[in-house]
Amino acid sequence: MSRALAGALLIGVAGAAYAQTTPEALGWLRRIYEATQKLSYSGTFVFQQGERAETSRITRLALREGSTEKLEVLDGVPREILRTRDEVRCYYPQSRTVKVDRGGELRAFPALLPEQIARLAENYTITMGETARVAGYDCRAISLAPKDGLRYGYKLWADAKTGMLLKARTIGENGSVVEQFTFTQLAIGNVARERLRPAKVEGGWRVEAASVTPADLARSGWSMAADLPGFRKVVEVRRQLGEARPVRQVVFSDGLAAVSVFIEPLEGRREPTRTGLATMGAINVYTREVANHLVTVVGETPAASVQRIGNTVEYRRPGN
Amino acid sequence: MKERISELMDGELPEREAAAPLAALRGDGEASEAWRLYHLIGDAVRGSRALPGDFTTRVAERLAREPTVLAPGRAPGMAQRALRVAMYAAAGIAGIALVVNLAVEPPQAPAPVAQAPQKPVAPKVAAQAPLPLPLAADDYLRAHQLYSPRGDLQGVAPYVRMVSEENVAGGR
Amino acid sequence: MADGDIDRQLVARAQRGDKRAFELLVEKYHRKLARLLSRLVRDPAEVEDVTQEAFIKAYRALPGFRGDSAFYTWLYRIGINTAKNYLMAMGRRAPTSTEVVADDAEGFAEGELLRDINTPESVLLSQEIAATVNATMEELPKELREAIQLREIDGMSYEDIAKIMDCPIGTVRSRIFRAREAIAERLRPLLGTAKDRRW
Repeated sequence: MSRALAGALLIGVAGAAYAQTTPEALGWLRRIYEATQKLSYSGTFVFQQGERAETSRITRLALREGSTEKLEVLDGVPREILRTRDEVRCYYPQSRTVKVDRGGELRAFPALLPEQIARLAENYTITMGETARVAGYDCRAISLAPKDGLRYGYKLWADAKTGMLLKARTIGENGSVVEQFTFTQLAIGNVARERLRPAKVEGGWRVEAASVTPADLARSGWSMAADLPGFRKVVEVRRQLGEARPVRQVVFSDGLAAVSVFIEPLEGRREPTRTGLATMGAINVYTREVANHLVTVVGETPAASVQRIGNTVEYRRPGN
Repeated sequence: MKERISELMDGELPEREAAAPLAALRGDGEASEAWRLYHLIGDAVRGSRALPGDFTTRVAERLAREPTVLAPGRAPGMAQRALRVAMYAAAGIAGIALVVNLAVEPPQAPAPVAQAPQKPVAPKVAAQAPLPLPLAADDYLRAHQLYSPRGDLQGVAPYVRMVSEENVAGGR
Repeated sequence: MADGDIDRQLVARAQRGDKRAFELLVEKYHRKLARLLSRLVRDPAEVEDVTQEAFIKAYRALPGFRGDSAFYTWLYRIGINTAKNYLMAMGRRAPTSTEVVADDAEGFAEGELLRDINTPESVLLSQEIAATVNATMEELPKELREAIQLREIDGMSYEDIAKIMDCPIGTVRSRIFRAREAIAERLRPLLGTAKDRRW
């Protein structure tokens, strides 16, 4: 075990007690990741964030050649998401739009590598929690307490038998619950292929598909936060947003939370830009202008992190 | 007005009459002074003697530099509807579990930011006006979600988050 | 209609971007919170810093407050955490105590102050304020004094006070207001109203 695991100090989320990451908890975490990879299931869960409570049906079919997952959101804006190994398709019946995203496989450091789980322990103190029943399954809780204020804490409840994640909670700075996913009904295994057919898309639907290519931002003169503790760059691409707006995207991650930095030119933008911090539950968005470009930082982290990364973005004309 | 403030601070003013005193409290006049003094009196009567008198002013100065937090109230029907749908979708024990979850463990978080009328923001000063999400926030969110490690932990479920308030409020 | 409702209204406004509403809550609770935190953080100058920090943290966390508990209870917990984190950062431990019960905000009695937390500069003036309040209280007509004591010390609603004092609610309202104004009249010369004065 690295020294990062020994003598870990628990602050923030779990209060003043001193605690350390335990091998048992790491083992459970590993099981959860494996279950997410391997299991087929179908169920219903509720997503809560503030007063927003949305119920969704979710189905996953795991096959050797890759899995297919479908999410039908039953509240709020009607939408359906279909995710396969190569792409994610978001269907919006109300606006008759399908948005296709490719390039997910470009991410470095997929979670299942053993060293990635160990790396989580550098930034979180991971310990076992209580037993509980969720959706009829006997679960064990695992706590991930952040070691600093740049990230949230988490509490996960996993089925004791299969490791399936039944409930997940994101915990903010003062211990408040920022968002929560809870299964209310779940059947593991035995998923019929027909359940994963996508929504019917007839003529008249608009398809937005973005092309994504790896990029090297440093070459074009951009630099940013090399030093945000615990966060590593995992992706750097050129892509299109929405109706073919070209943008550069860099993603940093600590293994559990991610922050994306988007950089796009301001030339030719008709809308006025509003800079500053906006909040959407667990997700914070920070925008600022740099060298006639708009920098938008989107993070599943407390506001401090998106602001910090955003404020380090710099441009120096290449060749100087 | 001072009488209204006295009633208001005791929680004895009916909601429909509170608008005017609350509006008066925004300024620096008689109403605010009354709020300040009457609370000071209450504390003094209870034997409290703490802190310099400009404490609130100093906190106000720091507050001015903070990003404005926003958690606009949602249509009250929304949470109820979710509860009903969830109960019909779930069966038996799971349905009861849902009721318990929503009632006993309310997560506390801001709802997405609502569209506010656009205000020009001086670039140097930290955002003072409530800041709406960027236009086309959904596109950024989806592009971000593609690479979020939450997908390794929870499969496709986190995509439920990827809808900004703009959309929830009423379609694009 | 209870005292908590004005808090709820102010919180709702603050959550819609009204910072002034939050300032009114600060005005209302800062002495009470400081008093509490002085049990953990002994140095008076530090108490002020920690209390201020707690309010800022509370402001940032405000979107997450849903009103399931009373505002002060929620604020209280943030205050305790802030103080504990502060002590830990300083390498000190919070007093293990039977006196400080971290999760029992409602049961906390005002009279259990362990230590006065005045900063040296404000000692004289705050003593004068306390003396003025006490003196005026003693000079008040009995029914005004009783009304404001029942309200401020016992935390009773106008309705309950009306029952105890056997008078209409309107009379209760009026007595409390007149008591406050009588004391305020004597305090105004001491404090002034200019914002740039220390008091």
